[in-house]
Amino acid sequence: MLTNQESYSVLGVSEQLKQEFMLLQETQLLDGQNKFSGKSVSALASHLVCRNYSNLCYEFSHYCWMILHANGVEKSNQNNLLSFFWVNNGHHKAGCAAFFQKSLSHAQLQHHHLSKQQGNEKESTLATTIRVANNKTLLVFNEKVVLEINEHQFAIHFSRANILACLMEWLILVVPSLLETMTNNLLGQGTSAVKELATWLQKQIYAYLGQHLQPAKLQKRYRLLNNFYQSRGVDCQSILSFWQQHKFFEGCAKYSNVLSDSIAFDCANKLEHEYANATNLLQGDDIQADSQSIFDEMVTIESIDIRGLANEPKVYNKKQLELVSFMAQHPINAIKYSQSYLRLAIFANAQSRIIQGVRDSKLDILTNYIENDYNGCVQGLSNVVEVNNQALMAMYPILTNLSCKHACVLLIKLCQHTACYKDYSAKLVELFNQFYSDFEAKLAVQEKSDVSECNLRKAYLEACTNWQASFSWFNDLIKQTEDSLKMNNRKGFTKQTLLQSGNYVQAAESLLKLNQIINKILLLTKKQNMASDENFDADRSIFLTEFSELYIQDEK
Amino acid sequence: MNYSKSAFISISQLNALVNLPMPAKSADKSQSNILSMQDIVNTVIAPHLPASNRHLKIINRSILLRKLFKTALDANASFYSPAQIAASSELKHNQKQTDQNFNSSVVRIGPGFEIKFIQANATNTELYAILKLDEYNAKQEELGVFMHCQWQEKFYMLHLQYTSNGKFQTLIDQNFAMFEACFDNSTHWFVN
Repeated sequence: MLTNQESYSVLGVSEQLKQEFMLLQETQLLDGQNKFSGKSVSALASHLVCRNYSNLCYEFSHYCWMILHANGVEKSNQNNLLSFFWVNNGHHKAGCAAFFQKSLSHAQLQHHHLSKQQGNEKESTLATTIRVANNKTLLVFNEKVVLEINEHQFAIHFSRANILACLMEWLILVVPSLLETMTNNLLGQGTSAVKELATWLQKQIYAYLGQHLQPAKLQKRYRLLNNFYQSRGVDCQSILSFWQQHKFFEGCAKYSNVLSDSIAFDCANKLEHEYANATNLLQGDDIQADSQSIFDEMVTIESIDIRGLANEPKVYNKKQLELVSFMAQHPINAIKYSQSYLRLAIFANAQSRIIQGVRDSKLDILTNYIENDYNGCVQGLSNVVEVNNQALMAMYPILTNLSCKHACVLLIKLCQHTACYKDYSAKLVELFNQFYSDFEAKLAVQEKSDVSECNLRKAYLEACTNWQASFSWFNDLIKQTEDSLKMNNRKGFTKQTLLQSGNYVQAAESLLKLNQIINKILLLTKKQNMASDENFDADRSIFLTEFSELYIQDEK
Repeated sequence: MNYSKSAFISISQLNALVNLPMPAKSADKSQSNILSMQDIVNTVIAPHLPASNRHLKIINRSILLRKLFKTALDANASFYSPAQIAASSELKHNQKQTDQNFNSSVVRIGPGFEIKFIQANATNTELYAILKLDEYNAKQEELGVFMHCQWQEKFYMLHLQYTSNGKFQTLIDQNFAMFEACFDNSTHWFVN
């Protein structure tokens, strides 16, 4: 059950953008007063985060045109904008009004009474006209300024000064050449230039927000998730329910997408709780320690890099790689959502093939796409563990020739993780420690500082021969590693395709982590009887119904 | 990109975003690399404020902020009284002299002002900067004159106190970052 959802701070917005909004709130004038009202900053943040800034840009372009032309084209340059927004209180309604009123004394003035024309009491205030050029006029009222270019009219109320100044303050950090560009493009130009500038501004903002906000479609999807999981929390059942209910929404048709998004949502939620806990801790509140769970020791594993395992060295075939890719991406969540993982492995794969069938207009009977059941999937995972172990075994003799120390570490790990050798792991550590201390002592006596890999390997192989003679379990272990290498003819495991030691070390690390995760999943599925035929039949029925609604609706 | 992990926006989050709590005034703003344009313009038009020195250090750390500062500096020079004149470095306005005691001096002449840098001692560890303005006002007599200089892409500020007859003076130690800038032809000087 999720709690404190309402207390989420700002997720989905880059730290930089958040800082920029904060900066706008903190921006002060020389007298220490805040330059922008909280309302203006909030409004601007809303416009930007909701990606609803096209009208604002259009208004802003007109506004800047007015500022640039208020004192006549000849006298105007980029300094007009700079002085208006940052020196002459253009951020303020009164300052803005004063600027346009003052401009009148510099321009050719014409006074009009518009009350009769407009027939509006509010408009009966005196309007003064700044004739900028032929067919270009600024009408200054007490409360607003109106731009007229040929038939085009645009009015800006002086109360908009603060938010428009706020936009300018933010924009200049995003587009440093803004003043120059605006001046060059607007000065002496007409409506088309104003519109073009508005479009240009939108493009600049769009590009910037692309780096600092999540895409709009993704935001929409997450809002959907938030609303759904708010009441029921994220678990395997609610993920399935979400997919069933929202499969016709954009981006929610594929079960695999829904699972990934739900996990991402859950992670974000947890981060928020962690942050809240950390804050409480700082404030001295007691935090109830979480009870020990199967996930505790996995917390440090974020994701596992399996890119190399398909090639350098080649451990997996395509099918095996597909099977482990989800758990490599989400190691902890693959355990937490084991049931969902099984559904993903069976039904998401089937869904992908169905989609391909629909695309090719060769849709088969839906049941034919489900090639395996949960027991088969569990068996597949057990096979992957076996493949991993064989690959790890085969790496030992290779690493012995490349890097003895890494070979020793690998052998210890293999010993620890293989049931029949587990009891000997302590002895193995003792043997290796003894070997290294003896080796160093020997070097010290001989006063040789040359601890080359070659010398070390020679000494290590000698020691290994002795250990093999002394300990039958050690002999068995080494024989097993050699047999594994002999049986493996994939890339990276033959003489012709040997790789750097780093490749093996990295691959071994990933394989050991994957083994850890898979073993936990296998344990959990067995414990909770997840892979039972009843479970599979129920899920198959659900998925087939949903697939038929999604993909063979028309035929019905 | 510095996103929050697995980021998303919900309506409640959006509300939290647009109703940001007013942050405590950042005492640690000097650690930040971000300044508003208003801060930059304030640094130019009010160099006497303590914040200006702090902001100048931040400005010098960022190419973007330096560009904006230069824009503000150029604009400011033409905004105010004739005493506030920007001068760019031109060779014809540079005069290097050496007196009988082998103390060298450099004179920079711009429209409305002349600044002279004179070696204060034989070891060349200090130098006097003497500014002469054609026109000055009472406020400048009281607060002194602030000059900005742009040297090797960075900006420095010099505060000169009024002495007499339109002259303003200060002593520059060789440990001061702009010591070398005083003798460099490529240094741009701006009088506030």
